[in-house]
Amino acid sequence: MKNSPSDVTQKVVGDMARNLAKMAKANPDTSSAPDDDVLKKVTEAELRAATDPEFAQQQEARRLALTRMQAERERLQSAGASREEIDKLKEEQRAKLEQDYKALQEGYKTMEEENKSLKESLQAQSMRQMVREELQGLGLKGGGSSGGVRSKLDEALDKYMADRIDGLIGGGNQPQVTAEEVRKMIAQGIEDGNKKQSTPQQIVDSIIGLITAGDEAKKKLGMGQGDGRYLAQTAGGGMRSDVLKILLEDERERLRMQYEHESQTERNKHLGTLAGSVRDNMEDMIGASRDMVKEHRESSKGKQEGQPQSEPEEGYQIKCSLCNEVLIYPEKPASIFDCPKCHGKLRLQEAPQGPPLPQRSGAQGSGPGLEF
Amino acid sequence: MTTRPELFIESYVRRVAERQAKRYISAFCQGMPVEEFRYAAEHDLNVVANLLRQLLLKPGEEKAGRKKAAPYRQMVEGLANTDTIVRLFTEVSPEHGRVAQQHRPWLERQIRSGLADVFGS
Repeated sequence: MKNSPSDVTQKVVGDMARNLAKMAKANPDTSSAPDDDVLKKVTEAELRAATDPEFAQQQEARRLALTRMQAERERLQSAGASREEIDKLKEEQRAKLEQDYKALQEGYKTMEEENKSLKESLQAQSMRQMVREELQGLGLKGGGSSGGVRSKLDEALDKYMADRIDGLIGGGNQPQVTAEEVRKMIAQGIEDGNKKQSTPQQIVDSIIGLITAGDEAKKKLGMGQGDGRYLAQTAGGGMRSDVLKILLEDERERLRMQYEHESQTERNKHLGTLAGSVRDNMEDMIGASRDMVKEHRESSKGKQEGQPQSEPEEGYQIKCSLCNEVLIYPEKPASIFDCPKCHGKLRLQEAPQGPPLPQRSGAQGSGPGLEF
Repeated sequence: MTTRPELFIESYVRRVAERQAKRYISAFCQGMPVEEFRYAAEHDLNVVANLLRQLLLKPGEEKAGRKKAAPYRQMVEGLANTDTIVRLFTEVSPEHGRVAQQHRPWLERQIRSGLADVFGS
């Protein structure tokens, strides 16, 4: 019995309802139920599929694709739900990798150091072996040292090593350290001290350390001929006093040069000032000198030509017994006074009565001339 | 008494003072034209006296200035006589010197007044 259109319709409606239910399950987040337009479209599609086989095939293909898409979506959703976990896992893995890397680096460094020390020991060993072979070749037979008795090989080895080290740290076959080298060390010590802004005590200590470095090393290594060249002098502070003496000498020299320079500068400045003032007043000084010479010449010319002398000045005439200069004072001077010419101390004394001295017209107090 | 050193010193000091005075007179002549100087002389104005006062005393420090100038009184009074001043004026500026010569009594009064103001009568 063929299905009637009503049966087909019922079947289609039933299928539609089932599909709708599936869709609701597949899309739980859809808040709203499929609306009427969709329902209508789906109903029409189902009806057409029921009557048109081609349309039905297309619908089937679409349904399959939809199902596949839904399955994919579900898979992706399930995959998305664990994305955070994956990120967390990734972080953890990254941290772990970093730790491992650090551990590896440290291990690498340790291995490098071990490798280096191994290399050095290997080198020393090989060198020792070479030296031993050489010395054996020279006829020195070595043997194990027993109970403190040192073999000739060991002694020769020690001597060889001592010579090599002596040559490395200074001294050895080199000539004695000269004073110039010591001064260089001192200058170097001062420079280093100034750079580090050390105290004078520290600078002195560093200089002493530089000078005695070779001897100290030899002493510590237990080699060398007794005490070192400089170490012996450190007893009682001899080295320290010598170094201080050298430093003080340099400082004294520097201060002396500085003082000389300053005094020379000061002298030049004063000379310059003096020269300036002389230059400014030279004209006046020359003019005054010329006036003085002119005055003197006129007065002496008058005397030579026998011209009557100019009217004597008013006052007292006094003749100095030391320089025989005749002085004229406006007033009677004090009993003890200085001669303006020879600056001798004069005491006033009346001259013995003699021929009167020339009188002045209108002179006051002109009596017999007074002389010392 | 006049000895040779005294002659020298006197001459030297006089020359130095005259040189300085010439500088002051030169500055004065540059600042005051001849016409104004003549006007001041004709009308008996106190220009020279004021100049002397300003030269020797700083404004506001008159008392200290008088005390400081006291030791030089003799020298200044010996130099600041009318003949010397007229001669200096003539040497610096002949026109001003001519006016000073023409109005000599006025100049003399001015000098006396200025010195009295500085050193006291």
